[in-house]
Amino acid sequence: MFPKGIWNKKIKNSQTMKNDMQWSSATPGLLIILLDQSGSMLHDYEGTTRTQFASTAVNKVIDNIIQKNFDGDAPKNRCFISVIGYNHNVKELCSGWLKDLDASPLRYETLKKKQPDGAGGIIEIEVTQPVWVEPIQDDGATNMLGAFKLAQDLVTQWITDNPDRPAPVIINISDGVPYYNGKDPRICMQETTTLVNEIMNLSNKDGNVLVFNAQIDTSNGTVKYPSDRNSVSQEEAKFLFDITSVVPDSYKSAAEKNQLPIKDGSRGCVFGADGVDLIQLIDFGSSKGQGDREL
Amino acid sequence: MKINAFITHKKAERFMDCQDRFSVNVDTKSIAVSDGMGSSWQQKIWASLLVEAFTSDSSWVPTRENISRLSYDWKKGVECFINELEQRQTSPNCSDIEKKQILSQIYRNKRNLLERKSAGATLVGIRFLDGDKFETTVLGDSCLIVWDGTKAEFLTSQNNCEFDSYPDYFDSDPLKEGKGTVKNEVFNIEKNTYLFLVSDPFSEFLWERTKDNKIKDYIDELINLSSHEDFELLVDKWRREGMGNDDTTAIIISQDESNVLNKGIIDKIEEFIERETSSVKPANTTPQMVSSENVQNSTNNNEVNPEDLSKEIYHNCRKTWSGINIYNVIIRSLRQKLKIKKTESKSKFEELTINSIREVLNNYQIYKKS
Repeated sequence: MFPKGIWNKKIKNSQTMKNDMQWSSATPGLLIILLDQSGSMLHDYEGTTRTQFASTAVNKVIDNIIQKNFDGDAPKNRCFISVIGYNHNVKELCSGWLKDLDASPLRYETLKKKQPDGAGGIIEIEVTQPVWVEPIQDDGATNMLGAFKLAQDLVTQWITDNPDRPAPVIINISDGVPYYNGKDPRICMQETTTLVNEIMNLSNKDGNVLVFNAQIDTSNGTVKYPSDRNSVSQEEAKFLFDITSVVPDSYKSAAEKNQLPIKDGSRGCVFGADGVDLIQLIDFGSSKGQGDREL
Repeated sequence: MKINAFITHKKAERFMDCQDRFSVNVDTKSIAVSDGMGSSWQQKIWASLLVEAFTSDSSWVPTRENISRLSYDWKKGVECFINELEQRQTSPNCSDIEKKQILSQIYRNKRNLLERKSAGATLVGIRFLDGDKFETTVLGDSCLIVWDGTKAEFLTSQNNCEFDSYPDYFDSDPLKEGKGTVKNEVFNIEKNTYLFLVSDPFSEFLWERTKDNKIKDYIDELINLSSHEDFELLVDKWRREGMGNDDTTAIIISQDESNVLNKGIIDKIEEFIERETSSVKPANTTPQMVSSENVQNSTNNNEVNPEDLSKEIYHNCRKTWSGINIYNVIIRSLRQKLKIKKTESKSKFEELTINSIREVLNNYQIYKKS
């Protein structure tokens, strides 16, 4: 048995690693989504609540990933997805290979969707959407540190067991900053920053673990994929900037395809994300692994 | 002329996942290979329709009109597939777990139909004409290779033999253009020439071998294939040398004294799939374990190389997060397949190292099927 840590190369956050390995059945990827479920997520946002907004986005993205890897018979297990919710507690909301997730949503809900009718017009159709993650109902703190600790454990185990697979991707969706155990939020931010920097230094042959962040709070406007820390003014936003990976070069074609405003040095974070931005970020975060999977 | 045709799936998948299809029809003197695109949906149906259309009628060519007619058949095929799923779901023999899986299959297929998703596939076909000629039709990175003993000529529709993730293809939606332009060419049948119709892993791999002047050795290995098992071993070997891990098809046409087309070894993918569905499946749905097909050929005393086998088992188990059950299933099926007599009980999964696995296997008396 390989001793723990033998493949756990702790190197500085370097741009020399490529992060260009595609997810496949032989080399599946790991996608971890951290979902803020603290009390502030009950506030209004984009015509609904933040928690409803974020849960809908996560469900849509999981559904899209499964759909992209579905060939008619079953989804190919090209990816393992884990969604971790955090308030004062940290818990796994859903986890599994694509085939397992596909076979076991909590329920299906019916939504309306507009699409081209093939003759130049637009029609509205009803689509059924599986649900894996439900919005919260109760108040709670923001144990983001605990969520990243669980993510670190998952990622470390994955890298140890699978040195030849794509580097894992973590996407954190939050409306604020960590706050737990009654501590000063600045101390919480410092502790979380230290931990996330450790995570971003984990790597395997494909490259470093990537951490992307989405802030669903528009009180300071919208900033997408900044390369300069000073382009965000809030201390909370600077914190999220600090715990976000620089977008690797290998993601550039996905960025161009999705018309994302990414340049050299851009970090994978969006502040004041609307529905499209949030789904785009999560999609984008998993895009390199999926390659160009649509005609 | 003799035709051998081989097919296999991506590593870590199964024949039922394979999206390549081929057809050999000695009556119409037509042979075709199609590779369904992984980035599309229900591409197996599309690839099957393309090769069957090409080989069932010697006058069929992939005009826009003919492809459009085929698109209708594809859509009917998909609707029929969904109907069968719905019937299976209501069957009293269907377990709750199966019902859940079928429900999601129905949901996803119906959703794709509603959203006008389509299938894409490449096509390479040859048709023997009167008077020692043959014509080729190709769209995509599936390829015809003409080998005269010293030089290989590649025919694809891709510019400059570029093999990337975006090959030319036929689209199963008549309102979509697909990609690329069909290439047609007529060749004379030269004496002692071999023809190969291959899907993209071989296309790209052999193209690269022309650059380092080693193509002859590789072509000879293809020519000397005498069974499906040989083909699997060759694919495995070439994958270790860098060939892409993808569904792989190779049709080899060799000349003999007669001008009549004769079928030699022709793989039947439907039989391979049938065998898979009737065999025992692993307990969970983690990525498909690689079979013991990497067992080395026998040494003088017909022993399996335990080190290779144990490494294979070990790595397969470690790929999962619940390896214990998988390990048991693999050992059990290996024992059955290789007629291994158990002389010592197996260790617990947590205590196993590569050396331990090797030791356990060394204590087995191993008889390989002849």
